[in-house]
Amino acid sequence: MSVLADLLASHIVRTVLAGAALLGAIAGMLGAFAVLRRQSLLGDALAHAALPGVCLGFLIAGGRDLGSILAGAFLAGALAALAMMLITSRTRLKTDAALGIVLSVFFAAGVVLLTVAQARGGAGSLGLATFLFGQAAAILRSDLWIMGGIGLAALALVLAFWKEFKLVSFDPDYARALGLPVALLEATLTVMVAMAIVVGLQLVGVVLMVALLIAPAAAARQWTASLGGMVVLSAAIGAASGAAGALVSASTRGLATGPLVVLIATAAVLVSLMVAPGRGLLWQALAARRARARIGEGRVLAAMQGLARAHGDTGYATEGGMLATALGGAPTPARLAALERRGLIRAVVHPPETTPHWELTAAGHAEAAALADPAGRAERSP
Amino acid sequence: MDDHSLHEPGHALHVEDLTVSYGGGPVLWDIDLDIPPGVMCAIVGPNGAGKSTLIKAALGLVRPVAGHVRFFGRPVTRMRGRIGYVPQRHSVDWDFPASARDVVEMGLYRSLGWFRRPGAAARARALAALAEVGMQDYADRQIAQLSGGQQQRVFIARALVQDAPILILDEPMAGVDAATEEVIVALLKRLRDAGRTVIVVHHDLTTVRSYFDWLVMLNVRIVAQGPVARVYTPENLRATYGRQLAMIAAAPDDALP
Amino acid sequence: MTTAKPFRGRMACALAIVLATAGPSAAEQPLNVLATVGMIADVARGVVGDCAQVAALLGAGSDPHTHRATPADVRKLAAADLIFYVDPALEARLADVLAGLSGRTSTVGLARAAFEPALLLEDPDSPGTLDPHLWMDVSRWARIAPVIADAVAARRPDCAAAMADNVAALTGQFDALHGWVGAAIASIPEARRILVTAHDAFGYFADAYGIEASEAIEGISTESEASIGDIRAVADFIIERAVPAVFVETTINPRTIEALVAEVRARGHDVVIGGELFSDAMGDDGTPEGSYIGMMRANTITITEALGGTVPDWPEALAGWAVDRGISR
Repeated sequence: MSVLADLLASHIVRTVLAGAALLGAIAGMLGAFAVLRRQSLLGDALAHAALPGVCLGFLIAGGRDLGSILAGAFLAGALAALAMMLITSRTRLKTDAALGIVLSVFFAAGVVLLTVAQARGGAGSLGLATFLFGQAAAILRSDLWIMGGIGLAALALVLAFWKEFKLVSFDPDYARALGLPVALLEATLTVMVAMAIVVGLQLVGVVLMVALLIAPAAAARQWTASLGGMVVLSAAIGAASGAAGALVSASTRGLATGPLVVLIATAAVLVSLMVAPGRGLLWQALAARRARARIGEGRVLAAMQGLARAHGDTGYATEGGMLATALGGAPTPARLAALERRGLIRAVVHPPETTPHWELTAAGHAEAAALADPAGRAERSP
Repeated sequence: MDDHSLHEPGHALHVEDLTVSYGGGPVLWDIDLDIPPGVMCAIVGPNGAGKSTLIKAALGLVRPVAGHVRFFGRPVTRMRGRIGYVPQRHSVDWDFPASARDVVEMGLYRSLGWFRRPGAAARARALAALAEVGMQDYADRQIAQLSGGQQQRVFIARALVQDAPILILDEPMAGVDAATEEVIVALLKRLRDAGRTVIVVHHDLTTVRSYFDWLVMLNVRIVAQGPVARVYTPENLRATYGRQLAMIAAAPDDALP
Repeated sequence: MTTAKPFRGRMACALAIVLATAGPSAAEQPLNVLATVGMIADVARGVVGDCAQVAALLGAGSDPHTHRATPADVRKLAAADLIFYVDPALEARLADVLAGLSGRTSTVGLARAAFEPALLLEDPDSPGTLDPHLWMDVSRWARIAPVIADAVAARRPDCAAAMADNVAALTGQFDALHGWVGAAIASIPEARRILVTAHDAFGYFADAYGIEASEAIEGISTESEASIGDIRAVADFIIERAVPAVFVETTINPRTIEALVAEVRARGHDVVIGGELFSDAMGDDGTPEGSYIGMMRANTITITEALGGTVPDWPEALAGWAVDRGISR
């Protein structure tokens, strides 16, 4: 704990932590909508498209003016979004192809500009490459104001147009028929994603930004049943990933913050996929196992009841070997033990044979009968 | 073009010269259509006939290259909210975090206006609409957990809650079990009897005569339209579904404007 | 008589044409020498005079640690008769290209060619790896001049004598410069003789001139991202030793240093940005700092003044150099 207190006492740790948590919250909140609208990769395209904007902002305004860099990134992202819209509406290409094209072309242009700027040298090229993977450690207090401002604006928009965003994300056709300005709303959502990307460029960089948009939302989806819950949880997971990434990377030398944040967010997704109640893979596996067990137990009961009826003796003691033959394979000891635990069978001794024997209890008979007559059972159950 | 005087107000839906093309050949050609108020109308035609496109063009979701549409004499932009639209069930990803009630409340978003949330009154109306389709017990169920028929009924309830004079449904009975289909048809007939106009893109010819009283037969062009008894004839069926009237190829017989 | 004049005129024309097109014979053409960084190129120009044409691959502000060869670079490298570089530890991304060319073009790695191992320092963060920033010690860097001269003389034996003179002149200048830098640094109060920079480029400077080069934020190479832990460690150092000023470099993102300053100030100590240093590249062409001597001069003045020392008078031996560049002493 003193390690944590020590870390939190450091100005730079607090700054980066605030920035990372802020970014995580913003990206998580907006990423929820992107994921639900199946436009997760739009964020990827916008992030990659921001690179030429960053380079131009650098070249035009000089390396120290964050504002112009972010403006350049934002404009480039907006241009890319526009290009994608035009491609999908004017040509026969679908969204994924348009996305791939725009992403590649803009990013390639950005890399060319990057090398031009670096070859030209001079103050204009400093630190450009850090926008590829971020340089979280160089976040300054002044940057936090910009990030906070953007975050507040995004939050205000989301709150104001909550129900409209909800409908447009779920059923844009119906929204249009209802008279909502769907194109404007979708453009607003895209612009907000672009704003989130601009905020995140410094921290995690162009290449990894998309992970911050997708991972917290994907993780949150596994746990909640409402849009509100998903957005809030996604923001929370994003913020927590940002904070944790900042703290872990600050605890030792030479660990880059941005990639760590992304790793933690991705781990959150994996854990959620495995463990979330109802939807989690582990839960599903457990449920499947339970179902298989029930079926297996049912077959044992049916076999034993069949034998009991054939012998006209409800107390008929079934030998293990006969059971195995009837079932096409011996039931596992665990299965027999489970049936015994449920009070449906009991172990008996059937001299002079010394091998294990089992007989159905009264409850076992009833259960076997019910399984054989599912329609009757349905009538009986409420 | 967008005049504010009423044009053909006597028809619930009036379509004139409507032509829609996606860049290749026409999907809808020179559609002239009049549907009177208070009927339950079926729009039928083979696959690719343009039935969904007709609906979408009428609602302004698809831009026609020619023609105009009026609902009770008004353009669709002035009838927003007063047309209950039920899109095809598969046009939506049902794995969305929302309950049945949430979806039905969406029908009220326009009437609530900007910046307002659905309150108690809205929730009550949504519940009533769900009751009309027999889904009141599922109000808080996740839509991803509903069956196809239940999802379809939720979609209809969403349109019902708008309390609109016109309902347009795109293949509401597709992929739905018999019990649900009965419920839906009974509901639509109730609405028609109460004076609303119900327009349905329908896929099953065998039930046209028993469900509907007005029929539009479509295959890129209007083949026939009018009361079911008069229009549902072997000749019209052959003309709509027969091979010889395939989609209009490169040379329509009327010159393009 | 009238026929002779035109004949002579024609002969003169023909001769002129022959001379112009033939040009100097191959053996007398200036050698095409390419240096990777400007620090080599500047010294090489002083050595070779007219005997060779010297160009630098990387310009002001280009970071040799991260520079990748563009197709234009490869063309220049392939067209060169003689290539000088420092060491793969510096021009990391060019190493492959240089290795590929070494078969058919003479490539000289000056770190190994001009210096006995005893003169080389190691990277403090990874033992066994070379610290390539040899130009920071003027007395060491002077040793590349004779090596350059030898390499060129092997191709242009006629130039050997002229180059020997040039090397002698340069050595005189570098001796004077070396003494001057030493005097400047010595004038800094001992407690404040600490150099904190963005990356570990000043090891040789520290070794030669009696100043302590602290652990920098990034290591020897700028390829790695500065981490929070790195910045905090340097901040700890600055506070502990009461370092008055830190320095940014022309090839490093200044925000890293700004973050460091913010951290130090937040902990209640004051530190200023003492100025901009030329570490992996010289200044812009045409400026005094765009030469090796100018680069070291500028760095020394910046460091000395920021840390509270007094800059000594510019040495006589370099007076001519200063006058040429319009610098008053």
